[in-house]
Amino acid sequence: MGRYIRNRLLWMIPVLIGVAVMIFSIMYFVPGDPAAIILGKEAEEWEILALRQEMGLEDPFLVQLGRFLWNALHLNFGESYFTGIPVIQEIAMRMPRTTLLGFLSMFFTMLVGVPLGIYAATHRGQLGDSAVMALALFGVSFPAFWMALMLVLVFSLRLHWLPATGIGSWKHYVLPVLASTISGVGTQARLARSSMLEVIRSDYITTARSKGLKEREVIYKHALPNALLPILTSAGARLAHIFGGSTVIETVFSIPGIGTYMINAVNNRDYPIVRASVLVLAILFSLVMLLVDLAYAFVDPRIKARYAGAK
Amino acid sequence: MRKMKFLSLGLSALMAITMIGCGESAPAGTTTGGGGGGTAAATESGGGSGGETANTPDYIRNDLGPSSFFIQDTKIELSDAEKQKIIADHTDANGKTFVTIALVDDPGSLCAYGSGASKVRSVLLPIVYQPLFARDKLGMKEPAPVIGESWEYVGENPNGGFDWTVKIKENVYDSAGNHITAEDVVFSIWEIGVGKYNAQLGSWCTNMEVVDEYTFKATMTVDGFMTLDVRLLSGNNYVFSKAAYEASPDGMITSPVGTGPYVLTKWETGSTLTFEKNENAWWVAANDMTISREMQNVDKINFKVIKDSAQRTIALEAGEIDYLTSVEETDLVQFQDPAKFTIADSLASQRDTLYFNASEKGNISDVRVRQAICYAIDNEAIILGAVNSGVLCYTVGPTTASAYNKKWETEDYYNYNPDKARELLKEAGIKDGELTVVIMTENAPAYNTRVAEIIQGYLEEVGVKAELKPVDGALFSEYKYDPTSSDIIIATTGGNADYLAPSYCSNDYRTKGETTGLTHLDNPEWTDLQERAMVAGDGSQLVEDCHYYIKDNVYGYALFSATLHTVVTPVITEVRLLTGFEVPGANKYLWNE
Repeated sequence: MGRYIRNRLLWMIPVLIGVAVMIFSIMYFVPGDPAAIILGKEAEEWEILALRQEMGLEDPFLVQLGRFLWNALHLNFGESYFTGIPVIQEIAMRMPRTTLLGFLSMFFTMLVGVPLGIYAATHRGQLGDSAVMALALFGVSFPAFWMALMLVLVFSLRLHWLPATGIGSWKHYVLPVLASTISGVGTQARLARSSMLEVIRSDYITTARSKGLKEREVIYKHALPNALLPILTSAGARLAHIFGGSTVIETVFSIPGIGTYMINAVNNRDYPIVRASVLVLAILFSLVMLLVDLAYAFVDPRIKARYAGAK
Repeated sequence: MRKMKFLSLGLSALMAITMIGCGESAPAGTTTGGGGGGTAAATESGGGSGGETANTPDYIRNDLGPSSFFIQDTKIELSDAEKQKIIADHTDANGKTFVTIALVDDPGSLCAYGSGASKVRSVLLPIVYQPLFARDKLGMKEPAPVIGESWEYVGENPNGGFDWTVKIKENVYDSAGNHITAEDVVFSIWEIGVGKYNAQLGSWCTNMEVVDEYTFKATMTVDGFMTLDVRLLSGNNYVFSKAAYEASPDGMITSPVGTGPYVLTKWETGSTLTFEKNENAWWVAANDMTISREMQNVDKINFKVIKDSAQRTIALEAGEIDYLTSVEETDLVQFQDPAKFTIADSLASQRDTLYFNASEKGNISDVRVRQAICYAIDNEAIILGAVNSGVLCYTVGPTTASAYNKKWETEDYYNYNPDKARELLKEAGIKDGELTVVIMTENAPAYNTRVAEIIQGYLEEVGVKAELKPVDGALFSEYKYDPTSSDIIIATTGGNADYLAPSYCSNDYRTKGETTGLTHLDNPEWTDLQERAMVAGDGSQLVEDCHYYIKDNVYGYALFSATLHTVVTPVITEVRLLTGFEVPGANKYLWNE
């Protein structure tokens, strides 16, 4: 198992180098000049050129790429072109908010979505199944930004129960987590239902029932572990989706996280921020996917045995 | 399956209905013109622009004052109990009064120089720092002394520059107690502003040096007081102490120390900023308050960063913030209850302007074509269709300048006349449908795109096709100097509100070396006029000539200034704006009565 983890971690190196080269190249070729933005509307062309030279933006592509990779290797992502604040410092401050939001959303998505899906699968064709699927459709149909606005209108504006924007107390996280959770619950419930239905129809479940095992035991002890594999895969992808799509929720609720930081940087062509944020998200995504793979081992002994035997 | 289909359709309909109910309705008493096509808007407006007529429609707000220096009484009738409750709600555990304001972005940096969210910095920097001189009333020919005391022209120096000495006050201290001397002024403006952050002053000033403890010398590249005033004295050249800067761990990016009325006490990046009253305010001790932005009418100012405009509106409605500027016209319907909100209207200090690509190789190099384009556009209808209310402009310079000539409003400023437009196009040899122009616009403010769409409609009516090219700020900065990128640029122009000449002679219309501005001109006669006008300054015939030169040659064409809506809750009894931005310390509050 340890060797498997080590190998996976080593594989992250070429992945991250690939991501770094890709994001650097994209930002390099995207039109828009940070020097012109910094100097403002009254800047003359020679001033812009002078600043570009000072910022190293006039160097050849390979020189700039090499410098970026070398600095990134030393965890030096530079400073924001606009504020002069070290990017890593700002990311360190914002990342906890985005990860908290992401993990809380994920936690509640799984907590509600999976049991609902299991319930629907075990009550297939009954009223409960239809109700759960209707709710799931409801969750999947409404985009997160719309849900966020509706929640704010109801809980902040009309009822005055929860704050509409900002951070500060736990109350500030309720609506963002809820908005981000609702659509996830729908997806997870649908996936859990179909996955569970597939397992329930398996021969070994019929065998378990024919042996006279209690239905609860059949479902939770024999069916669920196998049904969980696709759910876990989807959970990993969902978490990545939450991190990647954090911009929307963070913007609507004015949460200073990594999403809003990155989108501002893209608009301002603040290259150091964009590159560093994408790299950090890539690292996070890789780690999450590693955790998902490791979680397989806990629910499926066959996979655990394969990991143990991996050279 | 059928059930699911019906359910899906039902949910879609529900979502659409709720979105409609989310505040897209227009305020009572206004007529929305829509964004697309000029024809409908033109019909509603009745056509015709230029000059105030007896039947001026209500969306032409000639009754409004400029937001550059705006004060409005906002008192709402309240009982004593209501007043006490509001005051209690705005008093913290330490007995300090506070007000909460929304910011559209995080400032990024609070160093007096450098980049960052410029609109936000325009609100925050004057809270922390002070300039040498400033204006805070309309029509002031000379700025009022703040840290500075007086200026004197020394003469032309052998190197071709123009020397001035500026004396500063002797009793200026920053919030940390550091004494401000001429050395600090030169350090902050010259060494940090120009030297480290490439402040714009560097294009106009070749040197600054200390003369004595309270006097410094500045060498300007252009003769005349106007350039000294605009670029050095009244510009955003803030002063701070060298000792405080050197003691700051990050060059005052997150720990600013200034001489201004408030001190930063807390900053949660991207979320909140808190400023508290500067207890060491030097002008209070010296009884020497010269400008309103030095007022400290509230103990604490909380700023909340709310990027989304809908969320800012909701925050105001929910009572999370106390006032908001630049409220969208369509959102005003939510603030119609006079017991809870006051809507204070003023005129935005910016003008929406068309810049024409006048380069000889350009598509519209013939002045008659440019004139035809202006005649084809109904500016009143654009106001109605794009921003719902505002005023017409008659020059590309600011109407707030003391040299602004009201006579221009009675002259023909290409008043809407499609027949004349067709005639001019015919004279220029352009057949119907033969000419296609590219209109580039920055996508912020959002109404710029609506303006472009309406203009597109009008141009089609006279047989000119228009392709729209909306771009973001970063692309706009890059493309605007490229003569092949567009024929017409729509931009919101601000700049100095006190003088006309800097607008006429700005880079937008200037040919200097390789810089050809937004108009891509190569006209030595025009360049010569601009240079002489900058020396002569406002009030001279040369500046008036510049107005007519731009107008007659249609290098630029100002369309309108939009109405700026500020919504205020009852805690504020008098709201004050400077250059369109909030000055929370200078507002009056219930506790000031």
